[in-house]
Amino acid sequence: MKIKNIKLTHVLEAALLPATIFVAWFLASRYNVLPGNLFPSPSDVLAGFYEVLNDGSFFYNLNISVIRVLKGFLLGSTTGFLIGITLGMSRFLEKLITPIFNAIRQVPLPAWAPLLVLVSLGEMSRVLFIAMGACYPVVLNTFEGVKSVRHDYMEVGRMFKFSKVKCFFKIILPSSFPATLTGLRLSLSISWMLVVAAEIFMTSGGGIGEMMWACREFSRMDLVVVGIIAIAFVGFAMNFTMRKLERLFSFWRITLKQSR
Amino acid sequence: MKSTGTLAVKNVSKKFKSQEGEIHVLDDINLSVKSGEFITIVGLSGCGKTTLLRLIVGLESDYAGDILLDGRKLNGPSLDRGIVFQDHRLFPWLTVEKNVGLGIVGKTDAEKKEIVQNHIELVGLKGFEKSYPYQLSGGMSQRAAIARSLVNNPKILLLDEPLGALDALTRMYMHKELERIWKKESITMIMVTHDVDEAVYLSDKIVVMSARPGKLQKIIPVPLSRPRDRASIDFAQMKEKVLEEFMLHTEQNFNYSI
Amino acid sequence: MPFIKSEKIKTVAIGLIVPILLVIFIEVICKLEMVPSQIVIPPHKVVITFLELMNTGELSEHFRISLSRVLAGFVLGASLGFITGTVIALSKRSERIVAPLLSALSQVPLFGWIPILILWFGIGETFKVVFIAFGAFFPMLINTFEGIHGVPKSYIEVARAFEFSSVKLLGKVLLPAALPSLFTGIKLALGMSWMLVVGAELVAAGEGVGYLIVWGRQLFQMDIVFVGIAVVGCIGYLMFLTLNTFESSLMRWHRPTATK
Repeated sequence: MKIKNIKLTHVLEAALLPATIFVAWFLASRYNVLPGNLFPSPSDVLAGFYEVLNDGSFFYNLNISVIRVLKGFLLGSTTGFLIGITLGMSRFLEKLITPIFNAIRQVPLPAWAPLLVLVSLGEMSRVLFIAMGACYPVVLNTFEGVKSVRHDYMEVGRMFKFSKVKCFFKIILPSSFPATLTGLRLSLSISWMLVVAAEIFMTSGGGIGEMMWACREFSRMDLVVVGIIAIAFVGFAMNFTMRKLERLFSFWRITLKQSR
Repeated sequence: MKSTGTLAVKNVSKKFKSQEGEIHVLDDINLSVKSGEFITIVGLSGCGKTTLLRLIVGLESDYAGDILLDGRKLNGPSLDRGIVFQDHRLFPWLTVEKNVGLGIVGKTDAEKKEIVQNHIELVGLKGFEKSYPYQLSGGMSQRAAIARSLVNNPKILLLDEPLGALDALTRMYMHKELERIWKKESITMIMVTHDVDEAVYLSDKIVVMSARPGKLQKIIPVPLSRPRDRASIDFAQMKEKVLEEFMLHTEQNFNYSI
Repeated sequence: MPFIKSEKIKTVAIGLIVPILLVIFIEVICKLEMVPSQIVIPPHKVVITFLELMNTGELSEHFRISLSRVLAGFVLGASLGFITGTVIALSKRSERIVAPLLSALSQVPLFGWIPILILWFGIGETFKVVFIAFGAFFPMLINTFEGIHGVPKSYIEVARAFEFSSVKLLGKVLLPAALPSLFTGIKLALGMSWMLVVGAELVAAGEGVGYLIVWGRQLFQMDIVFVGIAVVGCIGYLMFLTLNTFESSLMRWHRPTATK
């Protein structure tokens, strides 16, 4: 019933800017105000989309990218989760590993790409590249999650004489899980950003990013725009799903915050 | 030998180390608690009453003196002593049922289920088994916390201002409930509070503590019959007697006032 | 306080264990020729190459060029983000008009803009500056918006009671109260800019630290690649440190909250 509360003027305001741009775009390309090869008309983009849809290259490349991102994400986030838990549980390992971890983390991710090319692991290079980016947010969030488990809850465990293992599974893991989920959401969105980068920096493996990169060489702007819309859409869908999952699994934490 | 819940605190002192040096929290505390007694410890904030409770339950160690349960020295937390914390400390990610069942060990699933069900009924939370802590009111949360602390049939239950955060009416209702649970379980209860009314309503003995360093100021027996009537003159006089210890009593005597 | 000092030294010492062991390990396996010298090179050689590149002035020239690109892009993107964020935080209507378009644009993984920007602007400086500005824009926008939006109503009511003008309200209440959030935005924007300059220089540049790494890769000179990686990491970290110091000196009123 929320829809009823939204005012018509608000909807019109929201539509104003996109509609203006669309109309301007349409008119500009219709009357050749802008060079057509750099500013393809909406119908050009649609035609281009139809073309790549028909010859199968769109879904072929999208498929490669999605599978690649999932591989990198799974590898990176699993490693990140394990590192985060370990550093959170042991003060000694925290002191031992954190400095080098932070040092490596300072390197802007694209800088690793040439190195990975040089090591020439093929597809593995791209997956590793994504996994590196996917790893950091999960490490940081899981670590913070474990570190901020309330001492009060641990005392309850002591009262019931929980073993270390039981403390971990009954208190630390569930209590830090919402933070881990936040890390996973960030991680997936970084992974998706990096898959495009990986496909541009480390070409010849296919994928939607490489498709866009190749279309640039042939000045097929319409297909570049198709690519941009596609990656934005997939990115949005991934983020949306992760947010829903986050809500679902950390309902107790979110409602706890709201009630405060 | 099975524990019966007789507790003896002998010459206990406790110091905390901080950056400014040592803080003397408890000084030469002596207290004996008989099996099945209800004791309340009353004192101002910072008099060390919570520390004393944490020593008895075994969450703090490194103290001078002896704390004996059934004649044996304590060694860390144990399942024969339960505690209800001031903040209920239910795990927000578990349902009431799961929270209550948290501490049960060495039981089959069927036995576990029965114990949980019995204790949920004992504290009057039937119908809320599947609720999460955020769906409960403050009083209900403390009921669940009490149930959780009783599942291993401890002989002593320690209560650290469990009703402090509740509104006055709910608190009075919880007094009745606590008394009922105490009788039904025939268990020794030691409760920390700063509510004199609560102390007089519930206790067999009231232990008054003074602050910095925490010392036992006086032990006041409460010989009133149960259930107690808050409106009775005996009850009011008892309260006056305790308040006197804090210099808070009214000057004229109740006997003349009618 | 000598107690605390020795504790600190110990922490630093523990943190150095892993890097030192790693260096020794790599030196040893290189000495014993257990790995192809093209893939793993001894750390001392990286240091030598670093010193050589410093001596010839090459490194500082690359660095200067990258830095000027970052600054141009960052200033452009962050100030646009700040202005847009402030405007849409102050006016509900402008938020309704601009937000849908902006949130749609923000869904595009940043590296996806590379092909389109190169087609529009060529591979020159404009492309790089605009690309970096894109990256700096969104974090600044979001944090400015949230910072101003998050100013407690009670502060605004105080200002109302004193009959502040809207300019005074913005300057004396809203912006100072939003300062922590603004700084988060600046830090994220600068970090993003630094990452993107490296990315942009990987695909289209003839100089800059990102290009240095690519150049090393093309020559199959691992030592140059590593010098590049180390330099971009260190500079990124230095920027972050500088901002942190600046932030804490500017916000002494802000109680350092133990970040959970």
